[in-house]
Amino acid sequence: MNALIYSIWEEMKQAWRALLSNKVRSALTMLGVIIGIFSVITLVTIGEGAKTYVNDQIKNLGAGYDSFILVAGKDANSPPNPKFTYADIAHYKSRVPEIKDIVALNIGSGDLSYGKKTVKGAAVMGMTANALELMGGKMESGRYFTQAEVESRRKVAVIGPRAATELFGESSPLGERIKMGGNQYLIIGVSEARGSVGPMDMDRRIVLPVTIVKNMFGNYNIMRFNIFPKDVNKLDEVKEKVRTVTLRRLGNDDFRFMTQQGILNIVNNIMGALTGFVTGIAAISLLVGGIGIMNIMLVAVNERVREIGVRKAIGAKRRDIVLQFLVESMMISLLGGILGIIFGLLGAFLIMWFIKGTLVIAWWAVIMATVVSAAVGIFFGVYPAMRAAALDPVVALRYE
Amino acid sequence: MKDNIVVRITDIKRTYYMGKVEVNALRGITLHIARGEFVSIMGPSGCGKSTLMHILGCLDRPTSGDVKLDEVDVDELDDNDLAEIRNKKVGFVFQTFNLLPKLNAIENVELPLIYAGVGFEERRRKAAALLETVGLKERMYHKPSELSGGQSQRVAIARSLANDPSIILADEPTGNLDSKSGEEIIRLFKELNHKGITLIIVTHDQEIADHSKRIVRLKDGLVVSDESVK
Ligand SMILES: Nc1ncnc2c1ncn2[C@@H]1O[C@H](COP(=O)(O)OP(=O)(O)OP(=O)(O)O)[C@@H](O)[C@H]1O
Ligand SMILES: [Mg+2]
Repeated sequence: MNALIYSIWEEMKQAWRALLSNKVRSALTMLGVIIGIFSVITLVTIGEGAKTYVNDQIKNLGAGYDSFILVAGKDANSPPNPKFTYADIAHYKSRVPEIKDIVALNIGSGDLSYGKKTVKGAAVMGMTANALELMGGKMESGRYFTQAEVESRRKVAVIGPRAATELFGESSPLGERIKMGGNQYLIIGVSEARGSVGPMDMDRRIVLPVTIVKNMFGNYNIMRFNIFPKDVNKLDEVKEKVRTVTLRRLGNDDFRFMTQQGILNIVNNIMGALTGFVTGIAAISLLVGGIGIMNIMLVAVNERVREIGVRKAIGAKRRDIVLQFLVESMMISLLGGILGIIFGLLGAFLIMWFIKGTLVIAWWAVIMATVVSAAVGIFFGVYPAMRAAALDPVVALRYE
Repeated sequence: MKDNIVVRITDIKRTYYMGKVEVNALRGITLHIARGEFVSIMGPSGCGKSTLMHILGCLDRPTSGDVKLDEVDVDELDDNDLAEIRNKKVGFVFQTFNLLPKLNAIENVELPLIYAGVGFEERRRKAAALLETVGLKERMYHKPSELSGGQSQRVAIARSLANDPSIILADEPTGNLDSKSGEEIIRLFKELNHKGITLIIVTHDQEIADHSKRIVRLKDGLVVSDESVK
C-alpha cells in the first residue's frame, strides 16, 4: 500500500512535467472538463446564494422559522377580497391560545413629499406596534409607534433612511410632517438601512400604523398576518388551528398560508429543475472532455512508445506503466476540474456581486466536482494506459 | 565453479513468425558466462546478436531452450517477475543511449531506483555517486539534449548500474560514438569489469572486442567460435 502511494507520488511528479512540456495541448484537452465543471459550480453556487438570499428576504418579511403568514386570497394569482380586520388579532389570540403574538400588515405604495422634495413610489407599509420587535427591525433615530397610536389611528410615520435623506438632506426629519395622498404624517422615527426585500426598497419606505393604511382595494381591511406561535415546534399545529378559525370566521377558503419552508421549497424546486438541466449539459461536456482526454492519451502513448520500451527495459512493471498514464490522464482531468471550480466560483462571485447577493460556497459541490473530474480522467485513461502497458518491450525499443 | 555462473543458457532457439514466413533468429545457442567476465559478442548483421541480448536481459523469451540467470530459471517466471529481474539483476546499455529526454542526467539514473521503490534521499545519493563513477559529476543536472554522445552513454551506463545488477548488457554501445568517445566508453567498461562487474557487449569493432576477455562469434543464429582474448 505504501509502495503504491509512493509510486503514485513519483508518477505524479513525472506526469506534471509531461503536462508542462505540452502546455497548449494539455490546456485544450482540459477544456471539456473545465466547461463541464464550470457550469455546474456556477449554477450550484448561485443556487446556494439564491437560497440564502430568499431565506434572508423571508426573514426580512418576518416569516422566519418562528412564524407563518396568513394572507388574504386563495392563491397568488386570484385577486383577494380581504376581509381580515384589526379586530381579528384579538379574535385569533382568544381562539388559539398557543399564539404568542400577531403582526398585521398592509402594503401599498405612494408618493411622499416635503416642501418641494418628493419620493415617488415609496413602499407604504402598515404595521402593528409589535412589528419592530418581532420582525427584527432597528431604529436609526426616533422611535416606533405604539399600540395606543395604532388603535387611535394617529397619523405618525417611521421612514426609511434614504427617504429621510432624499426629503430632508442632512437635517433631522424627526418632528417634521410629510405629505402623502392628501394627508399629513408626523415623522417620529427613521429606521435603519435594510436594503431591498424583493421589489420593495426598505430604505425608501414609510411605515404607518396598520389602521391608517388602505390596502390596494381601497379599504382598511388587512391583507396579511404574521403569526408567531409560543412554541416554534408547534408551528404546523397552530397553523391548522388558525385555518379552522379562519374558515369559520370568513365562511370561505379565500386565504392561504406562507411558511419559510414553503417558500424555500418553491425555490428548491426551481433550482432542482435548473440543476438537473445544467447537470445534463455538464455530463455531456464531461463525456466529450473525457473522450478528448482518451484521444490525447492515445496520442501520448504513441509518441512515447520508445520511452515505454526503455522504462520496461529498466524494470517498469505493467502496473507502473498503467499507473504512469492513468496518473497523467487523471491529472489533466483533475486540473481541468480545479480550473473549472475556480472559474465557476469566480463566475458565481461576479454574478452575486452584480445582483448584490452574498457568495455562498457549496463545499459539497466543490468536493464532488473534484472527485468527478478525477474519476473522468481515470475512467477515460484506462484504455490508453492498458495499451501502453501491453506493449512488447522489444518491439517498443525498436520503434522509431 | 557452478555457483560462479551468472548466465547459463542452453539450446536457445528464437523463431519469429512473419505471416507464413519463419525467421529463425537463434537456432540453438548454449552459453555459460561466469561472474566477472567481459564478453564480446560479434557477428554479421542479422545473425541474432540483439535477439540474444534481449533474451539474456529477460526482455524477450526464447521459443525453446533454457535460460538461467543467477541460477534462477527464467522460464518459470511471469511478466512481473521478469520486470523485477530486469530492474534488479540486469543493466541495459543501448546503441542509441535511450535516455528519457525530459529528465536530466541524475533523474535518468534514478529511474531504475524509482521502480525498485528506493526513497528520494537514498536514490539521489546513489545516482550522484554513480554519475561520479562515470565521470559526470559536473553534468548531473543537464538534460540529454545538453550532453554529448559519449556523455549520454556514460549516463546510460550509470543508469544500468543503479540497482547493482549481476550483468550489464550493452548492445553496440559505441555504435553511435566517434572513435575517441568509443575508446572512453570501453575504458569505463574495463574499469567496471575490474571492480568485478560482469559485462556482455555486442560490437562490430574488432578493436573494441579486443579489450574484452572473451569473444563469442555468431553466424545465422549459431555460435561459430568462442575464445578468450590473449
Ligand atoms: N520482431 C521481429 N520480427 C521478425 N523478425 C525479426 C524480428 N526481430 C529480429 N528479426 C530478425 O531476426 C534476425 C536477427 O535479428 P537481430 O536484430 O538479432 O540481429 P543483429 O545481429 O542484432 O543485427 P544487427 O547487427 O544489424 O543489429 C534478423 O534476420 C531479423 O530480421
Ligand atoms: Mg542488433
